[in-house]
Amino acid sequence: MGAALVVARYVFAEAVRRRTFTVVGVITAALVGLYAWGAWVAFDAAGEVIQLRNLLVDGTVFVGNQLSGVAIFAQLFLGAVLAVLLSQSAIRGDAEQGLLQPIVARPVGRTAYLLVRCLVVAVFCALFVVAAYAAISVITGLVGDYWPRQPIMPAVYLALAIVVITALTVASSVVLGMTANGIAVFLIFGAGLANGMLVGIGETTGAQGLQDAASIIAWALPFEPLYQAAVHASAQQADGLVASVIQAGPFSGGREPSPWLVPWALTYVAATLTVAATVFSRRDL
Amino acid sequence: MALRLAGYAPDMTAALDVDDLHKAFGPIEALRGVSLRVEAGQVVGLLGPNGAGKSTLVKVLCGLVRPSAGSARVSGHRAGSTGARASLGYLAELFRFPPWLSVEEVVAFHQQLAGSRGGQAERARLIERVGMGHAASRRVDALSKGMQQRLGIAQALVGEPQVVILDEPTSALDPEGRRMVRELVADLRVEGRAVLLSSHLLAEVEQVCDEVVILRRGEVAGSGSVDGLASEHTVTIVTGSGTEVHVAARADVPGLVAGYVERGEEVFEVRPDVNRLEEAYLDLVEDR
Ligand SMILES: Nc1ncnc2c1ncn2[C@@H]1O[C@H](COP(=O)(O)OP(=O)(O)O)[C@@H](O)[C@H]1O
Ligand SMILES: [Mg+2]
Repeated sequence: MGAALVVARYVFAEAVRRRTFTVVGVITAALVGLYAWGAWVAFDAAGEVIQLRNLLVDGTVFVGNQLSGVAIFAQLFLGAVLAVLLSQSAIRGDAEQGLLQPIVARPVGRTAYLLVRCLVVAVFCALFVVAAYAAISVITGLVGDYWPRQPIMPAVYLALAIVVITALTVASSVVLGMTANGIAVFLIFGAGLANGMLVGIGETTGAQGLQDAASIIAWALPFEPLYQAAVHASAQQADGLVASVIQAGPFSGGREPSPWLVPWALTYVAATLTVAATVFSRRDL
Repeated sequence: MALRLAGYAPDMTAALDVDDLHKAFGPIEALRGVSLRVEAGQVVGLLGPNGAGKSTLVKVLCGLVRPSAGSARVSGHRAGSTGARASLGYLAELFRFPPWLSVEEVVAFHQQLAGSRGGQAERARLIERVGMGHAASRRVDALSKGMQQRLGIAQALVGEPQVVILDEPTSALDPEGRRMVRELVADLRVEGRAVLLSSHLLAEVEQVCDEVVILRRGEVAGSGSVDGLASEHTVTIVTGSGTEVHVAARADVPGLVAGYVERGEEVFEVRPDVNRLEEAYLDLVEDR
């Protein structure tokens, strides 16, 4: 327990002192500022009612849905970037540099090291997305009087999506060096998001086969349905045609999660880390 | 029965006890049945050409590499177990410390990892001992390779480990640094700690080690005391009629000289090889 705390402090200090954190912090602050300005312009331009062809749409609901959908995507993306940068070299990358050996030659268990490393980065990045989500939600509410339908659940889903991505990154860092791992995780990340769009296309077009195949793949990469669940929970409901218009946007609408999604994501994280710890414990450094 | 157990007790508690150790990395057999012992208060040099298996052996002892067969124990604990890792200090051949930590923070971090209660006093003493007192607050990324190696040595001594394993500790050091390591190792011996020093620098090993183990292609090619290993070697004798080189043990030298004198030769010079260990080493390591 003592050694685990020492490692936790070390990983936390690394996260804070590395430039990655500063860079992501500055970019986030800039984006939040840009978002505030964009939201003000967009709500102002939309007014009470928007006319889309011959359809009249509630301006606040339409713009709010679009904006918060884009914002949640940006939060997921920045959180994932941070998680990957902070853990892409967790095991093999650090071992190749000779950073890991002096630590694991000490009486710190390898499993404890891996778990603590994952835990600290996951908590850190999850707090980051939750803070970004809170800031964006408050800005959207103050500027456009559009508040998330469920204020807490989007943050929970987003945080869990980031935990899944962190676990995947730490796990694959056992076998992949730093650069290869970063590339691999971002490919998986992109594949998950692309697959989510296929689910959406399947739903809109009624192509059942596409929808089924993409849904199965979504279970294998649960950060994507979690992201969709976050968008869904934040979206103020609209009726009928307006709902369809909102749903068809690439960033808005989201998908209603299965009740099994959260338990499955937690199981997924536990299984991923168990496999990673087993492989790590047998690895020559 | 009680007597036998008592007789075996020292065996169980050798600082390092390696028995018939094998390690294969896929098709590469890095260790092929290595055995060695290091007792408390003993400094053992691990010699061998590049690729002989020195670092692999050391890494097995530190729990970084899993052996394929055989046993390795540290202070009676299976190598790699928490107990084994808790009783040793290790300087890796290739290592880096986090570039964003200062010298003092690195030592403090390892004090915490090792559970040392030495605190600030131990930190200051170790940093001073390796000649880094002037740079204690400097960040690792502002240290030269040699300074990092000094820091690595200080790190290995955190928590007063009973077993100290140094893998090529002087590879980046200046002559002054090398002398510092020699003196430090001598101090460790006096304090009753066990030291395993891997090196390819023969002179260094000759000066500080009680015993030497020479590895060659994953096997022990020779071992023994420095004097013992070098005892049977060449002596150059310069007489009135020329210079002759004899293969002879140290004990044979008086007889050789007496022979010359009996034959009425004038003996001007009797010169044992200067690099005696080097000769013995090259003999053992070269393909015959
Ligand atoms: N992780 C590894 N994977 C494959 N081969 C290795 C690995 N580590 C060492 N070897 C091989 O094992 C042999 C011994 O290496 P090493 O113990 O580093 O030698 P030394 O330290 O004596 O120079 C070499 O042939 C080396 O190539
Ligand atoms: Mg080596």
